[in-house]
Amino acid sequence: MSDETMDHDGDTGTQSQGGGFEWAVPEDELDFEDSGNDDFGGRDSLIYAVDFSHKMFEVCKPKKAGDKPRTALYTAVQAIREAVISRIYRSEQDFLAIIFYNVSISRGTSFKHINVVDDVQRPGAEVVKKLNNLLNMSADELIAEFGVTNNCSIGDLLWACNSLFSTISQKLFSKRVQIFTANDDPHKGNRQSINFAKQKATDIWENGISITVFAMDLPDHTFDQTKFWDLIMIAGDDEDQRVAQLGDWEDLTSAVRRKDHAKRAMARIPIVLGDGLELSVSVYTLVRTATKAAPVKLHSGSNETVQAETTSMEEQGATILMPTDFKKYMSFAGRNLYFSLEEVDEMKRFGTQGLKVIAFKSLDFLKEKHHIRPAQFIYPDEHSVRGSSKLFIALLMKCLDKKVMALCQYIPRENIAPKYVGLVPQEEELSEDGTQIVPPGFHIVFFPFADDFRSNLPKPTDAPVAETEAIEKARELLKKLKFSYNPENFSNPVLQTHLKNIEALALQLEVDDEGGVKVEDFTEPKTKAMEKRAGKVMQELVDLVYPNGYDPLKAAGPKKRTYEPKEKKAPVKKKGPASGEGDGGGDADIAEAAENGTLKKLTIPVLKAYCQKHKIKPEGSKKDDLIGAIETHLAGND
Amino acid sequence: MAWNKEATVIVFDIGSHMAQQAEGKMSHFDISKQCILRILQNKLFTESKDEFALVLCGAENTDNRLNEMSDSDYMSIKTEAGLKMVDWEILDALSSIQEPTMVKDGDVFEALRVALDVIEQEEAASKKKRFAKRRILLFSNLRGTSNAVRDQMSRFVQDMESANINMMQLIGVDLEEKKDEPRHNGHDKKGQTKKQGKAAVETLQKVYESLKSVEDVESYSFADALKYTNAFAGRQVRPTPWNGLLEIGETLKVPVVMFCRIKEAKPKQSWKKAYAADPSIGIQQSTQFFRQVGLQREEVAAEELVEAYRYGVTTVPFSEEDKKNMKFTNVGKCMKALGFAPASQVKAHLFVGDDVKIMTAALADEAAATAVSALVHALKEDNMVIICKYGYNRISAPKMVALSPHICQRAAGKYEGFYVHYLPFEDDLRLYTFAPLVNNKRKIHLQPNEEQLEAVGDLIDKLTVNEGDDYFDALNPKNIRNPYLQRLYQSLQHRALNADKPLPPLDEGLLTQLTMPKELAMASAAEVDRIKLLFPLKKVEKPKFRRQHNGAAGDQQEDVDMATIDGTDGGSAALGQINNFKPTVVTVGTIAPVDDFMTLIEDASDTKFDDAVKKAAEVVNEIIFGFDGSLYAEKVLKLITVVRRECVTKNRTFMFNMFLKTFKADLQSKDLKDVWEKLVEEKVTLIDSQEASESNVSRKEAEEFLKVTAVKKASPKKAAAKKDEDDMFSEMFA
Repeated sequence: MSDETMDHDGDTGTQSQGGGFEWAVPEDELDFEDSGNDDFGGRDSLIYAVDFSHKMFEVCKPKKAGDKPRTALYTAVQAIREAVISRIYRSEQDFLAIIFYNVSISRGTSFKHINVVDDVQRPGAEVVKKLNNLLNMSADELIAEFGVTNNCSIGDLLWACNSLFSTISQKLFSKRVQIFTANDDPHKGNRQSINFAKQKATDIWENGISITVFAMDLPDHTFDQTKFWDLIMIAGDDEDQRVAQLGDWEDLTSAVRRKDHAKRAMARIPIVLGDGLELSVSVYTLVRTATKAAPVKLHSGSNETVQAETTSMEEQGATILMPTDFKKYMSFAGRNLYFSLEEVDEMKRFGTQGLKVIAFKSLDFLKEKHHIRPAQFIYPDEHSVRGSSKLFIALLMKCLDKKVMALCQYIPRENIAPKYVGLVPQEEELSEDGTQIVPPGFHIVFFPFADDFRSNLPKPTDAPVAETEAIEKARELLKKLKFSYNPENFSNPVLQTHLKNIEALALQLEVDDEGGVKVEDFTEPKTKAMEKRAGKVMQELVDLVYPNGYDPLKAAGPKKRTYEPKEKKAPVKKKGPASGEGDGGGDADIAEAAENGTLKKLTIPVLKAYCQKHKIKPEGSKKDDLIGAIETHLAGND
Repeated sequence: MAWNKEATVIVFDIGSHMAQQAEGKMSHFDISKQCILRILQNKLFTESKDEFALVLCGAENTDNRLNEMSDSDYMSIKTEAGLKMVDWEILDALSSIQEPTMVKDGDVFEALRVALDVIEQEEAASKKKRFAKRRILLFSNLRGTSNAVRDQMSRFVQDMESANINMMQLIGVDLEEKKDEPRHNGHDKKGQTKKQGKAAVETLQKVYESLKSVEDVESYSFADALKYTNAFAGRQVRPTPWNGLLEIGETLKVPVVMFCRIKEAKPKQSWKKAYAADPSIGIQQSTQFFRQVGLQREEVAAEELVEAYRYGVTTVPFSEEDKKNMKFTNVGKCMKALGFAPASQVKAHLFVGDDVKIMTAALADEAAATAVSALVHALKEDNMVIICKYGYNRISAPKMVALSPHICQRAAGKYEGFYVHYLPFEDDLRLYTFAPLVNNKRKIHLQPNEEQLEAVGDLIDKLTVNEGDDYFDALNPKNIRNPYLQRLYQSLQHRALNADKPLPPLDEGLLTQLTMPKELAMASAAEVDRIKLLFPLKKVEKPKFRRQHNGAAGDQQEDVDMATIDGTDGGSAALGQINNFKPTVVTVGTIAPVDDFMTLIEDASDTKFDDAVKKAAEVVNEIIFGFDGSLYAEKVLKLITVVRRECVTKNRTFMFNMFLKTFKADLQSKDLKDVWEKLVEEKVTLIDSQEASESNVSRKEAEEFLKVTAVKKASPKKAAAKKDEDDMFSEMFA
């Protein structure tokens, strides 16, 4: 056993680079997750079960030379901490519990050798503090606190998990157990214990609980899952059941994070291939812009959350109006056109939900410009139409084979107007180590409608085309600065800064002098390295394409900032907020609104004030005139 | 600063010849009117600044400026509405023209001249160029009078050019098509109209050929007119380009400009609320805040509120100062390359944006264009993209974008540039893992066989449209209008014209383009039937009674799952230790066994399914052998039939066949002949391999199974065999 101290190495607050956010508040009509549909509601629940046996106090293989050696236990707790934090950011509604097994002092449960470190609850600052404390404790302190044994029955462990889940009264969408252990043979051939564990594994599987085992490799020992854990992993529909072989904690952390997303379908809908021929699929979102969660309002005296209530009253009397008292209207050329609420709702109803195939087309006609919102993903579903999987697989294989996509009318829900989409076949793609990069199925690609094509700009011109020599030089540059793109390497610096700061406040962590936690911005190009690698090639390319004395900065007009954001004395800037002199918060808001296309939501006085301040002369006084003028101004075009 | 207003004069031929029917049921007049209505509605409801005028040709009375000056010319032409933004007046005027007039001598060329005059006068009056674009749309079948002579035509062409007309479109006759037609029209019996029409067509063809400086000269047949309304509706040109520098390292900087190419068009206005009882009365909204103090709700004043963010269940108050300190310091307006990546790694399904932008070299900058061109061609050749950090302006949050090479080749020239797509951050990804589908060894029963694959392949072939096929163009997104917007505009129009009438039901026509064409559906009917035959597909009806089981105890699914516990839990010792764990047990009961069975197999995995079959078998035995079997024969038979059907669907036959064999033996040994006879009568036999591939029972064997009716006494050997089966059966569930 190692005497290694599980000390805090100072990076606790900033280790996690990923996770962390709440997915956008569904402003978009297609974001209909958790829509109250019985099949899709419910919360995720997860128990982290950490082995506390002697083996866990051995030191894990550090992956890179020079990495600080850690006990397996520390590594596991560290990974759990990261996962819990990421979960806190993302879905505060879910239930988590942490238990240690193979402790000699049982606590929080009637099962022997099990300590419920953190009972099932929604995570918050308390859990993270608890985990930080554990990470700060030395091995001796930990042993004194919990006591070590090797005698815990895995059957008991599984059953304890089962009873923990049963204490949750809310509707659960998934129940998962993640076991962290370095011991590949906990029962050493004891048939009775093994059979008992096997039995319990079957039982909890039948109860809809899935198990993942994170196997921690020790230096002198490679984890052999066939000895015991394979018996516990019951093959089922869910791929969650598996042993992940792991060494150092970074591996573990990223593996835990990968397993952290409970798959959640947005809907189950039919695909109609022809008259009376339909199969059923589940719809998933694989990517969606994460935004800051909206703040809540507290009563300053008590720090209690307050409830907001909005009431509508008619102007003259003081009658409180009920939703049924309203009509809706739009106003055109001076005429108000009124509709009942039902009529407005009815206008979006075009038929039953589902994907209705119109025709198939070669994938060659899938254009890059045919994109209007993030894609969705479909995977067969046996719940609604039994036999769907087989037909789905046949469809997938044949579409891949023939390189075609299905063009469909897509009504995701009955009160959503139809979209024009393509079902693009996707083969499963695995990384070198066997991790799934892209799952097999179809992507739903949203096509634009005729209405969505903007004007045919830019106009085709007879601009010069580069000479072969320049193209070859550019190719050389490509080779020099080629890298392997993976979106997982880029976290959102704005979001992360926000989240890390809240975390610092919540955990009362020390922050730097400026009062904020800084996160690394991975979106910033490594300019120095780029120059070093390819500066020469770039200069050669510049010499090939630019005439002597050509200054791109000057050519780009007076509005350009130079490379250094701090360089306030950029020679030629003079106007436009893009160059920004002393812009107040109001200007920032307007610029942001312009970018997001939400200028419409601002009031006319605000827009007018902005125009006056920046000497913008709108064509008229209507909102549209103001918006148009501001947009043109911001684009640096006036 | 005018931002690109367009002026459009619509010349609408309403002479008697427009009553002619097109191929469908609608007359040329009706098609034209509907097209024009659509164009104008579209403009009104999108609050377009474009101005429109309406000139009627073949009107009953004459009213135009040129006629006032010349007296005898320009007869039967009426300027119904001068150039202005679309308002209700022009729409009402158009709606009030119900049918073609009896007038025969409206001359379309004179009408075109009047249209030209309308634009010229308008611009002359305001003493400056008011419009970015000038367009004339002519709706006519060109079968009316035409007195135009050649020299007038050449003057007309000159006038068009000097008035800077940018677009001239004819809707009614496809001139290109006419050109190719053999000239046999002379023999046409319809005589005059035809001849005249031909003259007009030829003249207009000449005009079209001569219109060199006009950018868009197009003609459409009436057959295409409604389909392509969008093409002549004209789009509001309001470009707000982003001007910036594409920076690669510090050395390579290229001035670029970026335009939005695709972005969802939403209704221009959002719905506003009004008081239904009296819309003239305004509505006031107020928000109040409350907190719970004991049992009381207490209002909290606005100044007592502080903002907080959630950290899980912990709320973290956030002061304004905190906000300022903790804000991410932005990096400014930029388009900076991080490097180049293989295009295969930048997958389209990762694009998170809701638009598509196009970036090119800064306008009229040849050096920049050369630099962009070099990059574009290099990227194309090596199949790569540029990954960039993009900041819209000084204070906006950085985004990641991919620039992929795009070379646009059009008749008028070409440009080279990039498509710009937003890429996700790690925070935006959901790293779901899905079980493999193709060749998944664990799900071998889900793999389609050769015959099934072939059938699906045939269906796809039947439904595939290629370039040149019918429907190919119609399926281009560019030609499909958003059905919701159209319906909204129709509804608005309807309400504007008939304020009190209920809205008409959904116009199915709106979905025509988004529906499989009848011809394709018919052509593929045989393939569809074949697939239905080859693939067992069964809709699962949601049982209604499932709700009862739930109460507060959470997931419905779980309840059903828990049902199986009693069947699988051998070590009940452990159950005793569990606190709070009292699952609702659902099993196949004797009261409604079929329903129970269906509930159990809903969503069931294979093991669970087998378990349900086993439970059903138990009930059958219980009913038949526990009570007076013959009384319940019907009920049992029904259950067996349902179980059999499900086993076939699920392709899990072993359990059922095993059960039926045992059951038969039991019936015979217990002398329950009448029950057995029912089975024979209903032909309930073993599931054979033709029904479900998993079965190892041949069809012949299955038929034989029912024939052997009179095994009085099992021979010792058979009894042994039966016993084996029995044992196997019970062993399977041990």
